Amino acid sequence: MKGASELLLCAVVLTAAWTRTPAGALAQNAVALARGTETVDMLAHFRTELPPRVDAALQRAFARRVAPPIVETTGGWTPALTIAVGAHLGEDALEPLMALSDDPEAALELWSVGPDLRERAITRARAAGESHPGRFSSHRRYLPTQEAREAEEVVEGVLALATVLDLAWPVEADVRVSSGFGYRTHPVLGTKRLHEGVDLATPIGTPVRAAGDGRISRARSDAVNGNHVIINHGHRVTSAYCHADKLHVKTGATVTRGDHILDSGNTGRSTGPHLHFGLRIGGRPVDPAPFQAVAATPAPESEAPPT
Amino acid sequence: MVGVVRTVFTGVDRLAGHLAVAGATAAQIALVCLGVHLAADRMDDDIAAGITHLQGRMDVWLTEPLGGAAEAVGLPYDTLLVWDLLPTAPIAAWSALAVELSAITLLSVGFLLTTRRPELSWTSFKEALCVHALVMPLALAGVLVAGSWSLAMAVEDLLPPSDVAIWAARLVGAAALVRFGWGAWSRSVGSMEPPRRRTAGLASALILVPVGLLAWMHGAPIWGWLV
Repeated sequence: MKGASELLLCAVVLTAAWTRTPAGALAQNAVALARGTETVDMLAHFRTELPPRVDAALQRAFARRVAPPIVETTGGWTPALTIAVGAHLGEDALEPLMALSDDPEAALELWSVGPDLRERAITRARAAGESHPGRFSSHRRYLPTQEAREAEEVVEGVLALATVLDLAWPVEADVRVSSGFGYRTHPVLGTKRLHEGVDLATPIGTPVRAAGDGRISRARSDAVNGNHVIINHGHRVTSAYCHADKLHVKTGATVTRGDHILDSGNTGRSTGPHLHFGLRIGGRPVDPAPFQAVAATPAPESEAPPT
Repeated sequence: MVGVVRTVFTGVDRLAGHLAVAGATAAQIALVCLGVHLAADRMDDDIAAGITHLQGRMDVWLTEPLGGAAEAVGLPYDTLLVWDLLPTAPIAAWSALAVELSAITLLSVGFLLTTRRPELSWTSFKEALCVHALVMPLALAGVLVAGSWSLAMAVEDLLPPSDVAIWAARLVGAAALVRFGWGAWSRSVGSMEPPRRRTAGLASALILVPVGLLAWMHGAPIWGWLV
């Protein structure tokens, strides 16, 4: 009996390590290579980049942003969040999701993993002494690997989309785009390369406003971008504003949507006065141009100065 | 009927006897893998935060000199600009994975390659005293505790939510810690050889110290009760 129970315990420990660790995945891959079958991703046991589905959902979300709101919003649910849910999970998901919780992050996680797994993960995070066990980022690692991955795709994907959708155009909406996003022949270097944003034909001194709430992760000058500002909006969304004449914010400052952050100029590697506006999600550049179509007015001016 | 059951159990016990050493060693390594991964998963997040911070510093101190040098040899300057250009998540995940596999190797070697009969005593510990002898037992203990908790979580996840599931999971975790965890720890610590130098193990400590600390800090389900 003792031998049998020990054998069973051995099997349980080995199965857990086989399925829940990268070392187990490595062993699975060794077996898969020997058999000529498909290998598994060892990095799946760690936190991942933004899921690829966001790129396609972003295009759907832009299309929906000009449409009337899908439902009336309550609690922490903003119109941008409802559009992001519609684009990412489908419009049918919206009402059941909003019924789950007033807190969108909690609702999205509940939608993905269910209440039992979420409660277990929170209990475990609390037992491990995590400071904010209720937050998804704190208890994610206490979910089973596959469920954690799926929840990450849903929670972080929707929140990133909503963050992007809440951004505003940084200047008057009718300012001409002098060079669009995409591959082009560089006006100074003469080589073909990706233009990771849009150039807006703004005269020197034009006020430029923060596209959204966030923290200034960079406010400085260099030979290429001139005076420039980068804002981290959270959920792996950043925006960049380059070639400014004068900066009005410093690195580390917190800004709100519409704050006057810089005056447009012609500094750095630039052939004429313009503002370069760039947008990145999860480190990947995306075309910010669709915002201009929906930004009937520029971001509202904030009363309070940036802190 | 009783005879059949007895025969089955006898057969299983005999099989377990044949597999005992290999099975226990495999389970010890598996427990180390589970514990180290719990620490490495946390390390992944810490490395990502560190890269982001470092990127900001690099940005301030290195971009312009590197850019100037690049332009001087005809390379495009703006490819060196680093505002979130580094793929933080993959770099952090690969780094954490490298640390994880190294830690598993370092911790498993202690009980896999031992030729000595384990002897747990203060005298033998003093003879073996060096950096490795100070770091390894503490790190391995943290990793084994974390591994048994990770195992308990895995068992709980397989069962429908109930108090029975919670207690069954705890029982399995505790049994694995006692049966395999203690075995691995006593084999590793009890078979440490007298070192050539007191600084022996300094390099491996660079991996074992953070892994052990993270395992103790995030792999022991006691801190929530203590706070």
